[in-house]
Amino acid sequence: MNSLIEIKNLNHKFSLTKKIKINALEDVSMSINKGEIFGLVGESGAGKSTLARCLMNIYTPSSGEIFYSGINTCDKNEFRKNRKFLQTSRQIVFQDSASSLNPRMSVSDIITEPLVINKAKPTHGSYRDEAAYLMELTGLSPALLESFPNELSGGQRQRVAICRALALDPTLLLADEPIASLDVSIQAQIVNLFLKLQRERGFTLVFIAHDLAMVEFLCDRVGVMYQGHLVEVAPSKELFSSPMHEYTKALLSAIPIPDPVAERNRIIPVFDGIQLGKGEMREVLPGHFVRCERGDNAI
Amino acid sequence: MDKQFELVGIVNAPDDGEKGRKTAVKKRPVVSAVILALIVLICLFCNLVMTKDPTYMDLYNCNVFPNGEFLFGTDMLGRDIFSMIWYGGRISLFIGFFSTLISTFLAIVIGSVSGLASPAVDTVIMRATDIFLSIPSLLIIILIQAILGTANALSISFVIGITSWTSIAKVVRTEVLRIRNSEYVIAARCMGSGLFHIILKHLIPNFISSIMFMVIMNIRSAIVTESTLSFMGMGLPVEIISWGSMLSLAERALMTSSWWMIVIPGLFLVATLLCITNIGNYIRKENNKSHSNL
Repeated sequence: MNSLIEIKNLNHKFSLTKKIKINALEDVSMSINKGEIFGLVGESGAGKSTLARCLMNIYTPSSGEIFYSGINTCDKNEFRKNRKFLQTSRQIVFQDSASSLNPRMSVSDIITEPLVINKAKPTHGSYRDEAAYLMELTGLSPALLESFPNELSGGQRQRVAICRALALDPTLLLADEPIASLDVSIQAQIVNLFLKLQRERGFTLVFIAHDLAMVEFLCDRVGVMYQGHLVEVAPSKELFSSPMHEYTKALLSAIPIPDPVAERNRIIPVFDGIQLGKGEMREVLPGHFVRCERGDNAI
Repeated sequence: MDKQFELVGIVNAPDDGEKGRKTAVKKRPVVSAVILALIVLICLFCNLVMTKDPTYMDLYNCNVFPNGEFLFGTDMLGRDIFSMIWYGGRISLFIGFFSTLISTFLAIVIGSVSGLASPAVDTVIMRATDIFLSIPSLLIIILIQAILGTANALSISFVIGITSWTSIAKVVRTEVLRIRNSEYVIAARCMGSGLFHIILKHLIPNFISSIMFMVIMNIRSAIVTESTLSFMGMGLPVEIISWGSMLSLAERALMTSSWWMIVIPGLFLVATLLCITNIGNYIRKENNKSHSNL
């Protein structure tokens, strides 16, 4: 498979004051293939959202390179040259649907906003028809075209946000914890919607989530992040059946088992939160990368 | 069985939606709006109600007490006050609205630029605004008016407009700082929208309600400033009729004890300002209730 995104030695620092700096991303390297669903998991503050925002050029990384379809998006000149292509082919869905939709814009205005901005011609008649088509695609009733975000439920709002992201028919869709603020039944609907849309349209989906069960269900490949480092990347099935890195093992064992006896008797491996130093990704099995401390042969 | 079910069944919540709506209607400033609309309309179509030529100086009828012919009396130059009120109201209201238009435009541009720019540029703009704000506005107005030369309605409103944007600009900046980090603006940026689109579609609709009160109050203070200037003899000359320039005759009127010359234009001024204040207050309260995000 050919890769859509290549990330090479990406670092990102946030400076709180002049002296104190926080390393949100440290030496992250990976690739994401065309047409796959890539999951990104990790605890809060692991740098998942920062990585997503670097991919979208919302943040400019401190160092490192991101190649999107062969274009180095971190390079200002290259970005400027391919601005239109990059901005139309990459779209993002945020976690909080309440703040990602302008409360003063109607649903149809929100959905067609990317088309209006890029002066793109709607493929299904007028802008309104295009909005109605996209709404039906994501399971929303076109009767909601003229309503405002505060009149919608959380699940409906998230669907509107997905409609907006799909309006330009992107190649890459980034979903930054799109299900974290929804309740469980709606989460299932949205995840199924992502799966359906991805199969129909064949875009590449980067899915960030806390919920490991959802990631196992949805994703083809999964990356695990810890304290700004990428510690393990593997095909979903393999990662969940035979995790290699200590942190991944600890993280996966935190998934509750729906059986009281097993739940009571199980021993949770404690990950003592060691500071990760210099390390490198090693391909342990074909397609299964694990981060190893440098000079350390054991995993 | 049925009865038991009824006991524990659903209790309908008392329907007090109607009541709530009624109180909301009560609080609406209907009287103020009607009076203001009447004053504005009559001033606009003053030709239909004026009984005399407001600029004609009838020297045989100076200082006449209100009577059948001169409804509100005449001033010491023999002009009919009833006609002058409507004719001059046009100028006063024009100055109020036009200077507010100028100051609001300036405030939105400066506030948005300051809010969206880098911290260094923002600091420079805000400190400049602070300096501007710390100079007494009357002083700047007189200075700029002196540079512009003889006052007319347009120059007065321009001068008032470019001196009264500061406080609105500060509010706009604070709101822009809040809105610019919200995810819908970030999403719009990712889609490649320009600065103009973001200001027009995302920023203005979201902060307009919070500056609406200040904008309405700006109309009021512009009218007051024009009256103050005219009263002090630095605004419109006596031959251009406005409520302010009518009041500028006050000192001489006091000497001849012709009170109607002050009280009647003053009454109209106060009535208009009260109506505007009332509507402004209503808008502020409505805004405080606010359009919930959830």
